[in-house]
Amino acid sequence: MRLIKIYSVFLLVPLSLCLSLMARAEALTVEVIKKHYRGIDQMQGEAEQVKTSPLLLRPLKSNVSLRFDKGLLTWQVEGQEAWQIRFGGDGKPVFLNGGKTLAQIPANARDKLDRTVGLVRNILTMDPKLEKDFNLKLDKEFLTIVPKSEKSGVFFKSIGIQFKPNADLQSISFKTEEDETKLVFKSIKIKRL
Amino acid sequence: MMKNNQSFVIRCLIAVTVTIALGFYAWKHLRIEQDVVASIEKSRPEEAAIFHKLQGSGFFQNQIFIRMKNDDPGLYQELVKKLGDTGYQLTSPFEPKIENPRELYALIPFLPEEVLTRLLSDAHQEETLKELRSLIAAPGGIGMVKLLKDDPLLLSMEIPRLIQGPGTVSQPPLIAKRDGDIDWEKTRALYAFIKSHDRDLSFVGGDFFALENYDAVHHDIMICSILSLVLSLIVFRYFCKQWSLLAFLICGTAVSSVIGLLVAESVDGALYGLVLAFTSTFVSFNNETLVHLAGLDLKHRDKRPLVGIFSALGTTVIGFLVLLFSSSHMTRQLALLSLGSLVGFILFLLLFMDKLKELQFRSVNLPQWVWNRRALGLGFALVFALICILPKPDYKTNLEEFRFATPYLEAQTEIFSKTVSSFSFEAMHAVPLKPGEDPAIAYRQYREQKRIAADVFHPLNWYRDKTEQNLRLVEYRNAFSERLKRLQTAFQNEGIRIEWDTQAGAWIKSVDSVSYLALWEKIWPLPWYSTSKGQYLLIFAAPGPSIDGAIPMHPKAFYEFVLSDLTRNLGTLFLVGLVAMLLYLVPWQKRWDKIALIFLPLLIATLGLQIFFHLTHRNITIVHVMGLALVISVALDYASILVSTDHDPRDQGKVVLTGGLTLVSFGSLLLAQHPVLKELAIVVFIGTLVAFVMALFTRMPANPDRSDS
Repeated sequence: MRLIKIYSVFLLVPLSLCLSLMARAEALTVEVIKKHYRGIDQMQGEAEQVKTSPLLLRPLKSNVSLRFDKGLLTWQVEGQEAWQIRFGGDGKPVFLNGGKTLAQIPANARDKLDRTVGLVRNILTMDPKLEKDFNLKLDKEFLTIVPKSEKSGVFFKSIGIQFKPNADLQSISFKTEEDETKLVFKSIKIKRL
Repeated sequence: MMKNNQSFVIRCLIAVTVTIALGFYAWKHLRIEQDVVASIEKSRPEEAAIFHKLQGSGFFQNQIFIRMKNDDPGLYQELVKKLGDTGYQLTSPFEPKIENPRELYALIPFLPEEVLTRLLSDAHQEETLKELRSLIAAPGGIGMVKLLKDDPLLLSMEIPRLIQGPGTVSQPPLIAKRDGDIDWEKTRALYAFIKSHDRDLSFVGGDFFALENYDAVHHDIMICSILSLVLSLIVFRYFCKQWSLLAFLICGTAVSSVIGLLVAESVDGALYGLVLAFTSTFVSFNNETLVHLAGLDLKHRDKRPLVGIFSALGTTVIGFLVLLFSSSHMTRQLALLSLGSLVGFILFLLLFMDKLKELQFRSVNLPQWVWNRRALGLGFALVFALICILPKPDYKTNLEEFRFATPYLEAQTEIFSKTVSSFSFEAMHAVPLKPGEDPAIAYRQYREQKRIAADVFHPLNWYRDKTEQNLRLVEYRNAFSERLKRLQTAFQNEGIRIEWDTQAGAWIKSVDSVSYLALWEKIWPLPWYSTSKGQYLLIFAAPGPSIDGAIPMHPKAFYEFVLSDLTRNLGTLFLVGLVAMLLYLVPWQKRWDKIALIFLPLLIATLGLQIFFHLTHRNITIVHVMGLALVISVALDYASILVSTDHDPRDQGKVVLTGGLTLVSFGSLLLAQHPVLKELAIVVFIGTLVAFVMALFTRMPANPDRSDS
């Protein structure tokens, strides 16, 4: 009897683990991702960034720190000045630094930049507005975000996001006409207030 | 009696049917032209063409300029949202329009020494690399490399900074442009929001002036119309108790308006909205005609009242006829409309002459000071001499006098203009050049004569002739090639694939002044040079006397220039008209003293206005000139009637009635907030009052031949 109990424990533990993992794997849907990220107030991540382009002699690698705190997005490439962007209620970005450089950007390009940066915030918070202009397609753990039309007014052609089975971010890849920028996350923390 | 009534009813039916039919036809074919500005421009078509070519289309129109005193992202965001909700979008007209930055390298020989030295320095190279590293890391940032391929020294970023630096033109403010029609309620809410943040913002915007004007006009329409109506009815009731006169006035005005519209439409096609608004004054003109024709017995042997009527109507017609020669299209249209209306009204009255004859007016016998011929001659000469001798106000129309603004908005505009003092477009002028003249040489001459504003940027300040350019090219060719090679190596070390033709000759070439200005046209939003209607060069003029033939490019200055010109033109036409009126009166009045007495009230009214303008430091604007036209009309009207009838008490009563109605109408307008209405009222009220008193209380010695009727 005792032996049966011991065997059953040995059997049940891996079985329950398997069932739990299976349940989790099956649970990774766009809805699950939305539920996981929607309404987050804080996020902090460290990533390795790899940029490739025909205009580069070799892939450019750098460490990036990404922080989102109550509407304030900070994107810092190691060794460079951080870009800080604040988002208001309507989701439009306001650049808190880099004014001189931004002032040189032509109005139509600036509009594109604003939309692109606004989109990053919408992705991070899985804002319902995201699906208005973009198609979201999940293939296993890869979510691809593609503009519904060419007139969406953003810089990139597509964004690919790889999730871990628990819906944590594993990597994000931005594809534009000129380059591809991939961030592979080493750590990520999210918090809801 | 029965027959008479039948005939009256038939005539009424004919008048109503014809008016409705013609009115329907006029309304169906009515096309309204709202662009008053275009009408003003038509008087100077060549200057207007240069203005539009060089000024850039509607740069200042439908725009709000806002400067934030401190960097406040929260307020900025709120402001952008409010602007968006009201129909404004942020715009950047000062953005360099450079399609191919490579073209900018033609400017290298012209850049100031210190700028060129810095651009070719190691420090600038390091700055460029730093900027590149910062941007290249962001997604899509590799676009920066594409830019560098055509712009290795980042001139496309450097040059706008140079022209917006100290001593040139200050950093441009936020500019919000409105698309579509103005929404008064939303604009009111935006204005309230900006006012509530005026500690952090300074602003200027034509739409805020438009809003305050809109409110002021509404206030004036309400207050002045009610007051004028009540006072007019009191005057009317006291001097003429027959309401049928009022019925004749209203119906006749409907007929005259329709005929006036048909005449003006048949000649011009489309009518200006402002001219259409002028039809409301027909009631005043028609009132004068009606009162003088009413109670008149054409079969009576005393024909002096007829002489008075022909004198009065004739001078009014001449006043409108001379306006047909105005350089302003709108004024010509206004004259056509008035002439058509006057003819229409008289035709209407002729249809009812038998009924008009029955109308009676209260007689008034006022005491009069009697002129002897010598005193009249001396008085006339003295007043005329005083008008000629006394200082005359300037013929100058300021656009500020055309708009209403609260002291708050004026103060804000002042604060804003101080914060952007070097953002001065008021000094901007297009100066004509001689055929084939080099713009750079012309500019240098103006600069040597100190006719150019010293502290404002102009590309020709940097221009060097071809010999100097070549010398500079020789001097900097090696440094430029060397810098390109070093940059190329530095970029390659950063992992960036970039290759340039490092020969300076591939980038820098000498250019003539016209090509040089054409290049600047791609950088700065102003076209600096035009050859479409002769050669014109854009300059920022120094304070002082204006350059011969220069056309102001600031919209305010340009329209003031055109309106001042128009004011002078109308002033001259009125002088010609007065001479024509004088000649017209000779066969009717036959005696010089009668003609002198008819003109004397007008001369004294003019002198009175001249003194008033001098004491109150007013310029003569187009509004005053239009007001003076009304004064001429009524002053000659009152005097003609009274002089012709030897101040018959019945005609005195008629003049008191018509003059009283004119005085209460324009007296009510003295309470107006809007400066155009107020200034018009000041001129007409003072002029009419002086002429009215003079005409009523002074007379010629009684004519012994006069038969009492």
